[in-house]
Amino acid sequence: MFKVLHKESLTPKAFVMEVQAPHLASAQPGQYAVVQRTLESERVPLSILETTSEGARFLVEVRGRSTLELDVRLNEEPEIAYIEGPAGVPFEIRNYGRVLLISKNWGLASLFAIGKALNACGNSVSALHVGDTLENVYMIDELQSFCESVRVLTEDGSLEEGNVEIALRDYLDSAGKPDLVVCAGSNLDSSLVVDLCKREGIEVMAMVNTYMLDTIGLCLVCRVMVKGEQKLACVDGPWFRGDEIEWDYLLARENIYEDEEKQALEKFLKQLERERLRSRR
Amino acid sequence: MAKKIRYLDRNKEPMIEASERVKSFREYALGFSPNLALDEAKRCLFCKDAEQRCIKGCPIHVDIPGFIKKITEGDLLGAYKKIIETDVFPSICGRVCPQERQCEGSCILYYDTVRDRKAKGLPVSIGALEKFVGDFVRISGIKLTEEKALPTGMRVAVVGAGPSGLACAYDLAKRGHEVHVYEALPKAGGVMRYGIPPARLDREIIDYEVQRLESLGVKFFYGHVVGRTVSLSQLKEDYDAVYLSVGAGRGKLGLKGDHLKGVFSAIEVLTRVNLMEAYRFPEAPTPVDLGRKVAIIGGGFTAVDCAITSLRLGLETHVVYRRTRETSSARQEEWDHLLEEGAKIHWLTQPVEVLGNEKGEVIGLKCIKMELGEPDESGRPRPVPVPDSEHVIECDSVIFAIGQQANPLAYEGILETTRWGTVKVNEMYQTSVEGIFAGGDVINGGDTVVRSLAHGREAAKFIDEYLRTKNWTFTGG
Ligand SMILES: Cc1cc2nc3c(=O)[nH]c(=O)nc-3n(C[C@H](O)[C@H](O)[C@H](O)COP(=O)(O)OP(=O)(O)OC[C@H]3O[C@@H](n4cnc5c(N)ncnc54)[C@H](O)[C@@H]3O)c2cc1C
Ligand SMILES: Cc1cc2nc3c(=O)[nH]c(=O)nc-3n(C[C@H](O)[C@H](O)[C@H](O)COP(=O)(O)OP(=O)(O)OC[C@H]3O[C@@H](n4cnc5c(N)ncnc54)[C@H](O)[C@@H]3O)c2cc1C
Ligand code: SF4
Ligand code: SF4
Ligand code: FES
Repeated sequence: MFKVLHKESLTPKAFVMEVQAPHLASAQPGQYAVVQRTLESERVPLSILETTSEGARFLVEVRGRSTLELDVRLNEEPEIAYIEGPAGVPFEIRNYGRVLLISKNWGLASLFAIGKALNACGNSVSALHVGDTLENVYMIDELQSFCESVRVLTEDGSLEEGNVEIALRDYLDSAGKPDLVVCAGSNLDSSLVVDLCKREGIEVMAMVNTYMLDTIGLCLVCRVMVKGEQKLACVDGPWFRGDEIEWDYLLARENIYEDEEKQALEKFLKQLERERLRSRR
Repeated sequence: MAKKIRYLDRNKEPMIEASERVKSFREYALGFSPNLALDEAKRCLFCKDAEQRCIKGCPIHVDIPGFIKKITEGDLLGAYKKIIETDVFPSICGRVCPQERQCEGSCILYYDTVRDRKAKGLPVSIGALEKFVGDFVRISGIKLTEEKALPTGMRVAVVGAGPSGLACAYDLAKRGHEVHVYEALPKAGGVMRYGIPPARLDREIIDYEVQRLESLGVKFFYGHVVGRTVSLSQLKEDYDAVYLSVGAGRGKLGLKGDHLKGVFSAIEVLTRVNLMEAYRFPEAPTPVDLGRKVAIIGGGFTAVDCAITSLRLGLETHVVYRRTRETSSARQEEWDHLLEEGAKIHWLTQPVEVLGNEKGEVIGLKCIKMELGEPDESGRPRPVPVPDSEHVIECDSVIFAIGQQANPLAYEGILETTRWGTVKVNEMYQTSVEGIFAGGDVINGGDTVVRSLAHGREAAKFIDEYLRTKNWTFTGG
C-alpha cells in the first residue's frame, strides 16, 4: 500500500496528489508511473510531475471510469495499492536553445518536468496550453514560474477561444521559430502540431498516447509505428520524434475500447449512486 | 507371486461437463479423490530402474515411485515432502506439465525407454497424483515448517517472479540467504499468473505458493521495473548476487494485415482476461473485445490458452495451425477438451493474410491448406502448401499465439546475449557479468514451467557456491 500524502482539487475535473513511493525517487523528466487504486483496478499511466522527498506528485484529469475511481476513492481512503515506475525512456535534457511546450488538457502534466529541467539547463522555455474547457486549465502559475511566456486558450471559448494550431501559428508569427517544440495530451492535436512543424522545418518531440497494459513490453497493445518500425510506447517511448511517428496508425488504434469505456463508466456511476443512497438511509 | 500388471485401467480425473465448463473460468479438472488417488497409485510398479524411466522423463527428476509409494502407505505428508525435495510446487506442475512428453511418456506401462519401444498400456497418472498430493496439503491446512539454515548475512536479488525466480528464491531462502524479489507486475507468478487461464490453474494455488515463500522470509517488491526503476548493474552493487529470471514474454505478430483493428498478441488477450479479470467486465474495469468470432494462430500452449479463454468468453473459436496435432507442444488432452467445448481446429492450415474492411477492422483470415512433405532438418515432415487451397475463415478478431520473444528491458546493454536476444550463460547459469546469474525462459527463449523451476533450483545451488567461494568462470564465446 502506498499512502497518498496530499490530494487537492484544482478544478472539478482535475486534482494533484502526492504519493509516498520511494521507488519513484530516481524518476527523470519524461518518465511516467502506472497506478492501480486497488489490485482489481485498471492500470492507469500517469506522467510524473516531479519527485518529492518521499515519492512523487501527479496531476490527474478525470476522464473516465478509472480516473474517476481514483478521485472518489482517494477522498474516502488515501491509499493506492500499486504503483509501478518510473517507466519509459527519459526525455533528453540538453540545451536546445528556444523551446516551446504545447499541451492539450492533461498533457500539461507530461510536459511539466521536462519544461522545468530544460529551463534549468539554460533553454528559454515558453508554453501554450489549450483546454477543452476552463476545467482543463490548471497549474498555470507553476508553469509560469519556469516559462518566459505562457498562453492559455480553451476550445469552448470560456477563456480566449482557440486550438493548438491557432496558438502555434500565432506564436510563430509573433516570436519566430523555436528550436524545439514538445507536445503532449492528445494524438489528434499533436499530429496537427507536428504537421505544422514539419512544414516550417521545426524539430518536434511528441508523446504518443496509447492504451497500455503490462507497461514492460510484453503485450504489444501500445505498439506504434515509428519510421516504419514497430516500437512500444511503454518501453521505447512515450517520447518520439514527431515527424517519424505514423500518426494515422496511432489515431486508428486510439479508440478501440470506446464502447467498453462508456459501459464501465456508467456501471461505476450507478454504483456510486447506490452507495450515496445507502449512506443517506 | 508377481503382482498383476494393470496396463489399461488408468483412472481419469473427474471433469466438469464441456457444456458446463465453458460457462466459467473455474478449474474444470476436479482432481482425484483420495480413493481414486490410492487406486491409481497402486498401478505403479515401483520400477527399480525408474531413474532410467519416469524420473528421467521428468525435467526436474521427481522421485516418482518414491512419492507414489508414500501415497499407497497413506502417508500423504510424506509424499509431499518427497516431491518437494525436487519440485517445490507440486500442485502447479501436476496441473501444467505436458506429462505425456515428460514423466508419463516414459512410464514403463506406456513406453519402455530402456528398450526404446512402445509398451501395451497407459501410463500411471503421475501428474494427477502429484496434483492430488499438493492439493491435499494445501486444502488440509497443514502448516509444514520448512527447515531453514541459519542466516548467512548474504543478500540476493531475484529479478522476475515467474516460476524460475520463485524456485530460486525458495532455495536461496532455505540456505539462509536474504532474498528480495523484484517484480514489475502487481502479482507474482509470471506467465502462470498473466498467461495460463484460471480454468487450468486456480489463482489460489499461486497465492498459496507465494505465501510459502513469504513465510520463509522472502520479500517481494512489486512495481519495480528493472532496467528503469533500478538497473541490473545497480542491483549487482547493492546485493551479493543477482538471479535474473524475467522470462521471454514479449508477444509476436507478423503477417500481412496485422495492423488492423481486432489483431491482438496472445499476451494482450491473456493478460486482460487472466491478470485483469476482463471476463468480469464491467464489474472489473479492464475490458477485452474480440467480437463474436475469433481466429487464433498457433499450436502451442499459448494457442490452447487463448482458445480456452475465448470459448469461455462465449465466442466462436477457430484455431489455425500450420502443422499437425502430433507436433504441437501443448498437452495433448487439451486438444480433446477444446474439441468437446466446440472449438474448430484447423490443422495443416497456414494463415497468409488478415483481411480487413474499409474501416480498418478485421473481417477474416485468409489461409491455405498444407500437406506433409519431406522431413526437414529436425526429422519432422515439413508442411508444404496444397495448390489452389486458399480459403477465408470469417472472424472479427485474430490472436497471434505464435510464441514469444525476448524482452531485453532488464539487461539490454549490460549482459551478453545470443542472436535470439536471450541471455548467454555457462553451465553454472553465470552471465557475462560477475555476480549476475540467469535462468528460465530468459536463457532458453520459452520452454516449460518445470524446466524454469529446475533452472531456478540449480542456479540457487551455484549462487550459494559463488557466495562462499567468489569463483566466476564465465568466459563467453
Ligand atoms: C504515457 C502516458 C502518460 C499519461 N499521463 C497522464 C497524466 O499525467 N495525467 C493524466 O490525467 N492523464 C495522463 N495520461 C492519460 C491517462 O492515462 C488516461 O486518461 C486514463 O488512463 C484514462 O482512464 P479512464 O478509465 O479514466 O478513462 P477511459 O474512459 O478509460 O478513457 C478515456 C480516454 O483515455 C484513453 N485511455 C484509456 N485507457 C488508457 C490507458 N491505459 N493508457 C492510455 N490512455 C488510455 C482512451 O484513449 C480514452 O479515450 C497519460 C497517458 C499515457 C499513455
Ligand atoms: C500462454 C502461455 C501458456 C503456457 N502454458 C504452459 C503450460 O501449460 N505448461 C508449461 O509447462 N509451460 C507453459 N508455458 C511456458 C511457461 O509458462 C514458461 O516457460 C515459464 O513461465 C517461464 O518461467 P520464467 O520464470 O522463466 O519466466 P516468466 O514466467 O515469463 O516470468 C518472468 C517474470 O518477470 C517479470 N519481468 C519481466 N521483465 C521485468 C523487468 N524488467 N523488471 C521486473 N520484472 C520483470 C514478468 O512480469 C514476469 O512476472 C506457457 C507459456 C505461455 C506464454
Ligand atoms: S514435475 Fe511435471 S514432469 Fe515431473 S513428475 Fe511432476 S508432473 Fe511429471
Ligand atoms: S515407470 Fe511408471 S510404473 Fe515405473 S516407477 Fe515410474 S511411474 Fe511407476
Ligand atoms: S503496454 Fe504492453 S507492450 Fe507496452
